[in-house]
Amino acid sequence: MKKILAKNEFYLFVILLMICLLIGSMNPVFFSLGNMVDLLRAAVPYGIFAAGIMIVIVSGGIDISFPAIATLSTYVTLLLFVNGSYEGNIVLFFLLSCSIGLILGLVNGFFIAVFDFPPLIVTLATQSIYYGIQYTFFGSKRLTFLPEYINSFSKADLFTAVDENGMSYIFPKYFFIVVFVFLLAFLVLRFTFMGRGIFAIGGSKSSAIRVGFNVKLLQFLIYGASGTIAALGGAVYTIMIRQGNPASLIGLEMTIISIVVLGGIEINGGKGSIFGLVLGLAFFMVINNSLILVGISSYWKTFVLGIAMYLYAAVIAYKRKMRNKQVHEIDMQALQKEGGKVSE
Amino acid sequence: MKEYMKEGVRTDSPFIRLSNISKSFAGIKALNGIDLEIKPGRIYCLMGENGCGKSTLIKIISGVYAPDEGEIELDGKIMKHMTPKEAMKKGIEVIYQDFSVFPNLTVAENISMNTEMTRKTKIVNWKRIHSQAQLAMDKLGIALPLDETVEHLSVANRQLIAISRAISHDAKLLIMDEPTTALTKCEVDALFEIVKRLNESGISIIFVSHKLDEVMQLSQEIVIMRNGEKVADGNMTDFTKDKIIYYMTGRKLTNTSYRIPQNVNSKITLEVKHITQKGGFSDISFSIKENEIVGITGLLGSGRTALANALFGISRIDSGEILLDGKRIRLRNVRNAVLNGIAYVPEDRLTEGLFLNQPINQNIAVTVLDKLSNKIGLVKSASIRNMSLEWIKRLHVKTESDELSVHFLSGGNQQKVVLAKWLAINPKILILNGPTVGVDIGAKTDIIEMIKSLAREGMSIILVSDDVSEIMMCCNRIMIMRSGRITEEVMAENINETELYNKIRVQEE
Repeated sequence: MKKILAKNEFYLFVILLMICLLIGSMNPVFFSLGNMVDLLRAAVPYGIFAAGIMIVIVSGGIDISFPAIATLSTYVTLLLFVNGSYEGNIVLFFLLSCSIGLILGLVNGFFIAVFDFPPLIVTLATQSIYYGIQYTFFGSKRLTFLPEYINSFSKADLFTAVDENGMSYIFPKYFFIVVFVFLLAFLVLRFTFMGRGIFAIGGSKSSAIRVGFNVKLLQFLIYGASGTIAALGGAVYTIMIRQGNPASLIGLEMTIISIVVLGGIEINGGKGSIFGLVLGLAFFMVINNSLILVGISSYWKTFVLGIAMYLYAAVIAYKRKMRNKQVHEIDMQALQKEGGKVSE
Repeated sequence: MKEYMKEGVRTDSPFIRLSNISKSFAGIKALNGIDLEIKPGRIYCLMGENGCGKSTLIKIISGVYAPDEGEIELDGKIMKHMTPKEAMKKGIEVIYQDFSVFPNLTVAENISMNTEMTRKTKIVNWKRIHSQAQLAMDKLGIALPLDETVEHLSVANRQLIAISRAISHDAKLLIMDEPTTALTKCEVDALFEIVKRLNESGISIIFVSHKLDEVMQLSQEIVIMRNGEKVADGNMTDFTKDKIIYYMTGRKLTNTSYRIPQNVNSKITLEVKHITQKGGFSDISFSIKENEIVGITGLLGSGRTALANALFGISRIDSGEILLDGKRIRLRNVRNAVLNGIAYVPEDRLTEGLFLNQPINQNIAVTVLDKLSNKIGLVKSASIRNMSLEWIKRLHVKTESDELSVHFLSGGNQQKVVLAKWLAINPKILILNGPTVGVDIGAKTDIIEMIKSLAREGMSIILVSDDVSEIMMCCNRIMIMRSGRITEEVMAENINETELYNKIRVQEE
């Protein structure tokens, strides 16, 4: 129990639960199957993007070029399959898009790992460059006539919920993609030595080098992975809205970073869990999509989000302060009791 | 390890032999023709002032640098190009000053990290990580909670984790760089106990330290370096304290304790009456005169730092009163204290005292910017430079230019910059917290002389420290703290180092 209380995730969970109950009691529609399906569906692209950024942040870095990577890689892929002579299929659509994302991500990784440039500046620059490439070479025209397989995958459902008014809510197959990404990220971070290396770099880069991690290679791979996951998210988003829109992801980086931070992932690196990320995502989705259910205008949602983040930061800071105090007191006790010797 | 010990007993051949090692950086010789033998199962100490080439030598032994000239023979084999990983594989482990632990990871993971690395693990086996960590801690005879995150542990415990990690896979030579800098006396004793235990199990140890007393207490062999050369080595029993200092500095240093000048009529400057701070200290009363250097000593957690912080307005007192020149003052924040002529040189100069990336002159001028600025609040860079150049000269800061960033300076010179910064406000009361921690002997003497001459000129100085020799060299009066109270006050002339040391320790029981 103590252990659970010690985790930041616990507090987020409690707050989330309370908000859900509050909204649910004011408008029962919130707990309807339809609304839940809607929330889950809407969470898919956010979840994918957030998983990629979480890995980067845990390693002590940051990647704000991912919306640009997502946009550019899916748009180019779409262009090829829409205008080209080859029709392609859904697997190829994902594969090609992710490959472009990987390359764009590795460019970030190259500058960050090899030249030791600050990730914020590198990805700020590449964000600009990638959007620049998008608009100069490929334009900003929305692509609305997509290949048939994309439209059908968009509508492919696991089940469809129908409410009393006859409205139907599709629970899509592509939901599995975010589940897969989360699971993979969890396994890699928790059970592979490489994953532990990501935490190690995030905790102390110099220590990681001294212990013998190939930090440069790891960074290279991390940004590569981030690019790939960004492209995957972009592809799923395109499938979801059934059009290629080069402007729709602009500015998403801050939203995603907010989700990651709300999920208890330490912005300076070294700490975080997928479980926390899921909670942060759920919190964001509820605020973003459901405030309207209780009659709060959507203008307020960013305000509420801001307050929530502020409170959350306050809770974490307070807990850290208490924790430090505790450690100090324990030390003093130990000193008085055993004369400062370590327990032998 | 067992196999190795047999071999060691049979032949007594050195574990590592360096012959004629030289290394230059950008044309400057950091090491010049070093010969060194490390025998198995001995404790060595490597001494020398900052910049004498100690760290370069360590980096060569641990494979971080390749020597320009000379030969490394490891375990009977000549090593051509030794990488850090190879050195680690051969059993050479370095415990750096910052311990290189991962604050965000658990105790178990930290300790097992090296072993898992050499094992080329792909998939993490958490059970094995725990059992390995437990094993390593058992070897040292310590018990720390395996699942605790390291950032929640004390400095001493972090060091134990670094040691556990180093010995968790067949270490044969353990190099410890300034391992006692951040530890209290008790923790140092505990550490030495552990080092001796490791040594008995056949591990050689190279111990780098500035603290003479500790070195003489622990080591069996000594190696002294100066200006990139080995100037002396041999059995510790052949060396005296004076001899070591002479070899290290190349000059004879004398330190006599401080006496208040006879002919002056000093009046009381600062007086505190029954001040209490919850969780820090309680019912503290004392006064200090002009020309006095009062030492406040005690163990970690005795409240000495809390008291210093309160006297500088970093934290507030809950009750009691503080009088300056007979007038009651309130110290709500640092600005209050500075305006009242109180200056404070903190314990951890790197985090509390300096802007490391800023040039020296900016660092010195920061406390007096309002004095240096004109009517509309603009500061002339010429006046900053003039003032800081004067201080650089007065305190003998070794630097090529006042425009240099502070982090390029050695520890001793950084400490001088901190001093200069506070002396610039021309304080009445100067509070120093561990002013010579991590500073080499030469710079230590300079700083202590500086402190004394300030007191002679009339400043009241409060010196907070747990370094007995520093207290004895500086102060004319000493107050000993324990559990937040002043338990004893002695005049420095009536006590010697050992007696003071025992007084601080005896209080524990």
